[in-house]
Amino acid sequence: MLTFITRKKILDRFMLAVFFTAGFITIFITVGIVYVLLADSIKFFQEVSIKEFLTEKEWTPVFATKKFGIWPLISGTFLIAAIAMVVSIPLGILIAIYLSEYASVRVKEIAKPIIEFMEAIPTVVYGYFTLLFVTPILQSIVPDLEAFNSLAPGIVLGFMILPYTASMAEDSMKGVPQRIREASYALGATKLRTAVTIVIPAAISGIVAGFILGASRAIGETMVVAIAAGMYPNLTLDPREPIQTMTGYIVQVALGDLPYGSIEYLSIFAVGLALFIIAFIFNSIALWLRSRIREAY
Amino acid sequence: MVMVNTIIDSIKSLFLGATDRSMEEIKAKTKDNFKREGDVKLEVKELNFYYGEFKALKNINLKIPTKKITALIGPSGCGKTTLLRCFNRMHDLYPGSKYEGSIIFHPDGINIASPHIDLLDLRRRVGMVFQRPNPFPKSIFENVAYGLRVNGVRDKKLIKERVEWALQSAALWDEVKDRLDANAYSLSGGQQQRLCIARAIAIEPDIVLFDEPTSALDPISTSKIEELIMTLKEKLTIIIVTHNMQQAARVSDYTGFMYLGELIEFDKTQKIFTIPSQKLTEDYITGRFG
Amino acid sequence: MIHFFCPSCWRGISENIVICPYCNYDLKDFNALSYDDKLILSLKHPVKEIRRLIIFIIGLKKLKKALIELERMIDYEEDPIILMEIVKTLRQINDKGSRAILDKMRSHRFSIISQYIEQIEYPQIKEFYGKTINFNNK
Repeated sequence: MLTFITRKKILDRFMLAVFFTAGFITIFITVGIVYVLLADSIKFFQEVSIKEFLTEKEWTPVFATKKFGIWPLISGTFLIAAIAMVVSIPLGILIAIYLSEYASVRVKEIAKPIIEFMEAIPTVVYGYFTLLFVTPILQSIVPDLEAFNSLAPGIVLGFMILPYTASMAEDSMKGVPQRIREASYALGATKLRTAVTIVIPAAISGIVAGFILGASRAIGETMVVAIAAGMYPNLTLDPREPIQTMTGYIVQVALGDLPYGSIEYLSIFAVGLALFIIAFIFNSIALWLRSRIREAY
Repeated sequence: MVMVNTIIDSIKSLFLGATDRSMEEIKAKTKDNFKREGDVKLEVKELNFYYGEFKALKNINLKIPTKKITALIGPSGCGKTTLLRCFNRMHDLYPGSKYEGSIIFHPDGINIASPHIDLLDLRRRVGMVFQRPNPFPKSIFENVAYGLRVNGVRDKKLIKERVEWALQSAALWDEVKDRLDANAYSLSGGQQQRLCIARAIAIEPDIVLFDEPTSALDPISTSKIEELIMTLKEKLTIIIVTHNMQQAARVSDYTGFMYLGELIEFDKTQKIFTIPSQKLTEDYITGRFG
Repeated sequence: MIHFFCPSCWRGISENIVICPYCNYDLKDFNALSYDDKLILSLKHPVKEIRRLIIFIIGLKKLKKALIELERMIDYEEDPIILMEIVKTLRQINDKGSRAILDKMRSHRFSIISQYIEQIEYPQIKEFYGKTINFNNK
């Protein structure tokens, strides 16, 4: 018969194993993804040289003359992300200043759940909202705006990542010690001046980290761009034209009926790998910036 | 004979209760303290202060003399910091604060406790140094220049002059003149606190409030700050809240002893420490409670 | 939060206790004491900042009554800062009794204390030895 102590010990060991497995699974999945991406990408690069992949200016995998230059997809991706950031940065900062410096406790109690609710809306809803509502409105303002374009999804993505960027900016602004604000007020500074000249510079690494994570999300976002940006790999900076993003291409190919093992099929792994590397770099920068918040004051 | 007196007194105190302070007596004592002592800078009259429902200051009457150092002492939670933060209306940053009574700012005669006062102007004239050094995460120069910029000084040459003057007045100039662009957080704790003092005096306030300015510092930095405070009284009126009675005794000209939101006794520092008039003050100084 | 201490054994007690549960000291006795006697009682305070302040005040008041306790203190006090404060106070009182104690302290078991007395009592000797130790501890 087991004593109470030994039973406790066994339970302890068992729980440790459970927690370890749970933690290990996430690592295992990440490693698995990288492995699959790498394995199939290597097959792809045996047929298409890395040089062509990185220097060719056209992406025409379904044409008779197949060309695999990644730049049209990257440009489309970054164009949309850039438009999203142009919308998201000023709005995010304004919202963060308001919530962290001005809003009363009651306003915060109401406003924060609403902002967080935006995160819960399925992205496919955003996609159709963009195509059927935002684009027609923009078409009446912007001349020559095509039905599929990068402007509308960029703007919507900007709003979509707002809960993310604004709340991270707000968190890092809240993290600025109150005594530093008090020092500013004690010199006769207004709230706005304190927020802009003291709080934001002090919290800047956290704010920037939030925007980089937001940008990383915008780059990885799929549904909105797949629905509203078009399916036309286009090396352009004109936001009115249809484009295709990296994610958009992957969806298009994955949903299509291309034969397993074909070069078009393998190409999505190469694109996926490129996307993975970009996202990884962005997240690393953001993490590094966030760790710097603790260093100041 | 002593024994008999002791017994009689203890019997008396049994009947009358242990505390023997009456508000009238205290008021009468603090009332005309400065008839012969030059100008009064701040005149606190029947001040009550509330945090929401909680009455944190009870009927404070006090006259702060000009260009002297006034210390406020008392056990933690006695309201000394609360009173100090009334003088630049720091409480107004947080909801639920309420003032009753008046704090007259001489010679203008404006009432600091009035809801209609211009807070930004008040805080320009009443500077503050906090418990822990709190420089801005900016350069040494920008820390001192901030108050000037806030108050609309644009002339770069003037700002430079004022920054140098303030750093010199705060006895920090020689240590930092070669690295004015370095981050303020590269300074030691004591230097940071002197930087905060320079920042406060750069805009030439009439009064500087010190809220336990040395509680986070080592003894050597502490004595430097104390010396600095004593030199500053030539230019300014200084009010210092301190937990350290030795500091109050060494540095200040006048001392107020506070207990549970009331000002128990206010007098010349020498007198407070050598012949206090209140039993509570005696007991606090001799460490019976704290 | 305010804490109360027994003025005899200096252990924490609650505010309204009349007789200290640790050392049976009667607080009524304490309330009847004069301020000077309370000061002398507090020379045994466990917090050294308080002791230092009390010695400082005794100097301000030139309280000769405290000399007996101060003389006792120089034997058991372990903190040199406090002992230096005693030296300053004795110099401030400056009568026959305090001079005698000062003389006694010149051969104090802490050499830093005896040196300190030499330096402030006979500054010319300090010149002679050179300014090796800075006692300017304000």
